[in-house]
Amino acid sequence: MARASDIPAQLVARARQGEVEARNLLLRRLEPVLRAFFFKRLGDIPEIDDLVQNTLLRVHSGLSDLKDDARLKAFAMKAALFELQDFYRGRYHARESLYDPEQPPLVVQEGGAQELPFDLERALQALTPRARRILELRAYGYRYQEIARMLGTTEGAVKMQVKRAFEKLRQLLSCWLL
Amino acid sequence: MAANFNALPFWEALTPEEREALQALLEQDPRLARALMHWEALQAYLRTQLEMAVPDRRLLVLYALARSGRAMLLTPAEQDELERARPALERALQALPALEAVIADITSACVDFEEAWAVHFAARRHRHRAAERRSRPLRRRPVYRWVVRLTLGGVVLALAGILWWQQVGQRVEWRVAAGASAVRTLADGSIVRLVGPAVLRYAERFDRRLELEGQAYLEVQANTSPFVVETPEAIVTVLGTRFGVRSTGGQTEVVLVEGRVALNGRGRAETPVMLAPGQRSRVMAGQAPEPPVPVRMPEALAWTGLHIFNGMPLGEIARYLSSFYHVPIRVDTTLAVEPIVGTFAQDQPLPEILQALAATLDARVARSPEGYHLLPRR
Repeated sequence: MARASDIPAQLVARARQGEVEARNLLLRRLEPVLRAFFFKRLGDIPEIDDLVQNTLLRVHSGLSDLKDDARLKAFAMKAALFELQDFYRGRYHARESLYDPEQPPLVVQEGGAQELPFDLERALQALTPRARRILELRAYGYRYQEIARMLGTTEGAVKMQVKRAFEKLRQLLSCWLL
Repeated sequence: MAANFNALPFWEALTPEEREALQALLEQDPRLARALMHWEALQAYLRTQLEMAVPDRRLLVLYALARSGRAMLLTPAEQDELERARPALERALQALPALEAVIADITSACVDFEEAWAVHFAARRHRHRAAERRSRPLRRRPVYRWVVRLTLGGVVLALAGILWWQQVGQRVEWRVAAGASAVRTLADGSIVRLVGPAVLRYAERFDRRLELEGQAYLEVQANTSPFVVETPEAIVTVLGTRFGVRSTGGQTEVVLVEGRVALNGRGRAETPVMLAPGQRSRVMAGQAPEPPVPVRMPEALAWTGLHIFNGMPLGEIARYLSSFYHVPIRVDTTLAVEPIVGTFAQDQPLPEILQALAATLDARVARSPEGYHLLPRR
């Protein structure tokens, strides 16, 4: 395992003191590591550039708070992990876009938003623990493929569970609505 | 696109044209629109639950780092912040079991980051050393510099020793209740599936030593330092391998799937018993281990909640699955002798397991009123 001294503490100290050239050099050295990390976690997706830049920004803006120059690796790792969590959180949140594949199709609701006439928690209790866990992970921001990796199974198996859960809930909710 | 409900939970995989078609259908078919609305309401409800349970995901990252033996990566301020948030985080983990999988995912992301760092800087270091060797000027260094360096080195080593002792002294305790199981990736990348009731303890600064009470299935990452599991009755020493350990009722049982392990009784001085894949040995408290005996893997490790096949012929696997799921499964004679290596969760539906087995052998699964039949594709 590599030690933090892979980036000289002197360089970190100079960057921390606001030396522009040192900051740029430091960020340039971190960039390929971050790119490799996000690529490994998320695959070849267009957002990789944004994630790398956002993480570098986190490192850049937090550098002055770094107390120990030799702890840059830990600092960069946490910045990347925080960024990854923000990415998952933002995946299924509403954003302004004409076409966004991560947003559901629009459902026309007569009379606008309305209270649902049933208890969602009760509906969720009807699911198997595994199906509920999958839906929770999905709501957390993971894709089905990622959930399959996390649960040590195939994407097909995860989707099958989701399909069953959807069907069960649909039947349950339509019964309650009658 | 047909007006079916199947596409609704998977709208993210639709092409823009398919989404447009779905949109048109939603406007025409109120049942479809209602089903999607309920589904989205459910997703929104779960998102709200998660947001309420973990309003700051940064804290979940800090928690995962500390729990995987990386507490030394946290600053004192982060440690304080984590300690304040810990009770709420632990309540959230109890209420939403999916968060355990998130913690495991964060830990696995740490391993990925460490690998990316090591790979990148190992290559740089190599290049730099070569360059330094070429360019360093020859000169004598005064002796007093070495005295100062040795003294400073001694002080640094002593401080590092104190720090190391403090961190090794801090233990992580992980409990899984009876009837439950949970998976965690450790700091060295090894994976533990703890099957309740069980308790696992290890140093926050992970040193590849575990203390186990109960049952665990481990996939140990190969490393130059040995990986040791201690139970009240036995000590299991391994290099990279997969194995199950159960410590219950004053007895420890070890079943080896892959690799090699050395097993010894606690406080015993005899030569350890070496297990080969497919063997099991037991140790009673205060005794030496029993000689290893061959076992059938899926049955011997059924308590893990997994079906573990390690080279078992497909015909035998079919008989095992048939008895496990109470469904007749036949295998074509040309496929019956094919050895299979793989692991499946026991709660995975049988048709999926059979499809995966068939895909491995380029075979197909036929369903009939009598059960399942695995056949060559042509």
